[in-house]
Amino acid sequence: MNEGKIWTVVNPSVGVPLFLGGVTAIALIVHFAILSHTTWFSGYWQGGARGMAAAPVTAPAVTAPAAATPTPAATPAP
Amino acid sequence: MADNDPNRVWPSGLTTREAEELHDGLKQGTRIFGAIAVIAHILAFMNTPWLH
Repeated sequence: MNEGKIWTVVNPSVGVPLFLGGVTAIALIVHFAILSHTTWFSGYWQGGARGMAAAPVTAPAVTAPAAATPTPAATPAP
Repeated sequence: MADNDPNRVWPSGLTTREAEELHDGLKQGTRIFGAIAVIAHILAFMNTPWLH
């Protein structure tokens, strides 16, 4: 990274704002592109749906089979 | 800013040392920006459907 001498050619009072402005413009363009091509970005700003995006792919927990308890019909009433 | 200073390089009129000093600041700022961006992307990966 030996480009420091650029500032002997490009006037820094012009080059530095241009550089920082360019970075800002790119950041705004990328954020706007994501905002307009996804639902979750605007959804985040909309708020309300807590934890929806956090667990989209977890498999549903398998409940233990209820075979252990005898069926009521099998035992005669006392 | 003496006009006939041999160290001053035109067209910008800075000395090479001043240019390097300014550039060091710009590089440091870029590193900080980069670090913040890495953290932001990790948070985005963890908390959004991005790349899932």
